[in-house]
Amino acid sequence: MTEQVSAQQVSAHKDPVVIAFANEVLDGFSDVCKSLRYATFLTDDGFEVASIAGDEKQNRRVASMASSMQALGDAVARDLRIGGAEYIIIAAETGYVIQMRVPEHAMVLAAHFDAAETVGKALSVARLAASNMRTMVQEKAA
Amino acid sequence: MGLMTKARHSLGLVGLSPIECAKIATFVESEAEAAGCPWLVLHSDSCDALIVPSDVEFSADPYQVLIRLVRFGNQPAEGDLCITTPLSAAELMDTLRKAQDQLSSRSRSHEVKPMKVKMEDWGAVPANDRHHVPAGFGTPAPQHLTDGSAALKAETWPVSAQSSHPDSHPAAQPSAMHAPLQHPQPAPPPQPQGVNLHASGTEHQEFSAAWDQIAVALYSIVQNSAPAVAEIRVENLDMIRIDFRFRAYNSRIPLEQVSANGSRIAIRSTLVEAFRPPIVNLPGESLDKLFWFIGSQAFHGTGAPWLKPEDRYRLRRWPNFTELNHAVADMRAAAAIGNCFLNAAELASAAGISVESAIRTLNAYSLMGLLEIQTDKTAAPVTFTPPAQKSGGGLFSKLRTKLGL
Amino acid sequence: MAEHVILFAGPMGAGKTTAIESLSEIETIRTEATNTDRETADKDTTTVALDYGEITVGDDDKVRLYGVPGQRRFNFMWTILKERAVGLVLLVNNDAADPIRELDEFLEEFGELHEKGGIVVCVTRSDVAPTPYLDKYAERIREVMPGRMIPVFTADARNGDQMRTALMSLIANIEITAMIADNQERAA
Repeated sequence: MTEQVSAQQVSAHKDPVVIAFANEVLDGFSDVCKSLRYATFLTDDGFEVASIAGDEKQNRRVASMASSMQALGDAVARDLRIGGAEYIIIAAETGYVIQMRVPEHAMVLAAHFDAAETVGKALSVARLAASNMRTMVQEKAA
Repeated sequence: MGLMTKARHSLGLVGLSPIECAKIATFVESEAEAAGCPWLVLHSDSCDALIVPSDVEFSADPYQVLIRLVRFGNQPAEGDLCITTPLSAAELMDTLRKAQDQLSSRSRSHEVKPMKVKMEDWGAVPANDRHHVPAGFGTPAPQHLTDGSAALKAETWPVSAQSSHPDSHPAAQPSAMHAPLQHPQPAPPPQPQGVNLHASGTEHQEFSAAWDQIAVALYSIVQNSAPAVAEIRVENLDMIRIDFRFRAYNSRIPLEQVSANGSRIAIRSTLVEAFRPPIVNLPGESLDKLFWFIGSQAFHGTGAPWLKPEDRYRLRRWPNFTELNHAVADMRAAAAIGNCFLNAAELASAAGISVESAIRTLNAYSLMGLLEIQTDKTAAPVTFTPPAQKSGGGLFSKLRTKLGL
Repeated sequence: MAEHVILFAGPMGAGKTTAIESLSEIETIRTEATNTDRETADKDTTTVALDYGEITVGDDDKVRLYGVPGQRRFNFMWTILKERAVGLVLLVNNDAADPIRELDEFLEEFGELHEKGGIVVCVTRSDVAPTPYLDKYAERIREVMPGRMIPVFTADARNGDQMRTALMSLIANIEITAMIADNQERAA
């Protein structure tokens, strides 16, 4: 059995290499975006891979909720036949949450920004973080 | 009303050797053939009369007559009815007549109906304990039951032919048993195939009286909780094989096609050591399915002999309707009797079914071991009136229409 | 239009999504994700938010069927969906490591729905794992919810007839229980 196959068989939240990549990406994410309050990578089925800020219990809970949100977003998009859900934004009084799927992987990035950030910039840095994560995981697999 | 059964009293054999059991059963059969013996032999300790060895400590219930079997060298106890070894038909019949007299006098003085099979108050005994067969082929049977194996008679006419079953373990085969015949009856009109056999529906095949005794025998076996196997023969074919250890049965044909009015219906049963292989192809069919089939149709719409009209009953658990041939009304009946203690009339009122359907339902549930009993005779009868509903009925009836049930 | 929300709950792999599909007259809404927890249930996908199906009954009634995720980490969805529910179909797969414990846990979480309406328990996969028998489930229910009569059936979630029997039994139980309570109140 090849190493690549083995790596694919381990789910992301249990793979120390993937967890290390996620932590690295999130560190870079917070460096470029000071309005980032909290961020987490999670598996599609709601397991936390890595997080910045937040306590352990909160991280697990956010991972589960983000997974549900993502699935609901996908379900709505599917039902309306508008393609896959690219990202989800929850705007609140003092901030907003953006979540988007890591392209081509069963992983989601959920990030909480304060109200000082523009949605446009938040979206662009979130997209960059998700893209970086995809690249690292693919390089590892290769 | 259907045919009446000949047997009026049940005779239980407890702690006897297989040979003693077989002899007694044969004597009773011979007598039945000659003069219509009113005894039904069961291997149950909850019959009207019991034959128990004199050296076995045993206390009978007040409603029971105890007959002691005095083996060679033992002394009879004063006051007890006795039979002695070597067993003789004359002595047995004489003793049974005395037992019958005692039962008759009790019946007159206490208004106790004959043909009683005890139904324990399951309030104190979890239903599961009555049926559960743990891994390892069941719990060890009580000694007094494993020692003997008595005849289960569906009728009082013996037949000599018995088929052997080379395909199964010989020790697991019904052995000390008899396959009696029923009186020949006029051929009934052919039964429709696949009729709806629910308890509360109106379409009931007219079950012959032999099925009543099959039901009594099955009830008795279940009450014993001892590992047992049985075979119900219809028209001399082993149509239904039952292994009580696994709560399973096999039938050659679907139950709905089993002859309700066959002229020859008999049950043969025996106790079996727990470790013996099953006599049915496992997993087989659930026994509940068979009990539901027989229980809801036996007794011709009258109460099973072990049920008392003055008692009230409540479900211990719902019947497993997903595996039973049921009607929508059966769900309402289960919901009603699942929520409070009811007698047949009250069940009919609560579920909106006929009293006869309610009785059939109770018969089936009790055979399946699903009922607990309330013997409080002081409670006033209850009549249920459905609450006023919007036009079209409640959600249940609307869904029923919608789903085409 | 009157709405009747029925929840489908139970451990992962018990057949909740399939049960709703068997009953729904609309194309069900599913929120499934790739399952990475193969140790708990060996299946490709798992529900992470809800499943939704419905049955319209005449002009006045709609039965809404919601399936909740089986994993406890999604219990926020349980809380959300429980609020509007009047009945529960609890599915427990008999081949689980300890199905009676699963029953316990879900009854603890959803037992209140018996007071709001009713509960029915469907034991699935009893064809591959015959035990525990239904009596065991019924006995346990009596212990943890004394005085309540909850129907317990074996069921194949793929079998529409069996799921309809479960649903009809649930509704029959709700209606008859209400009728009996009403009669008892009037008698008192």
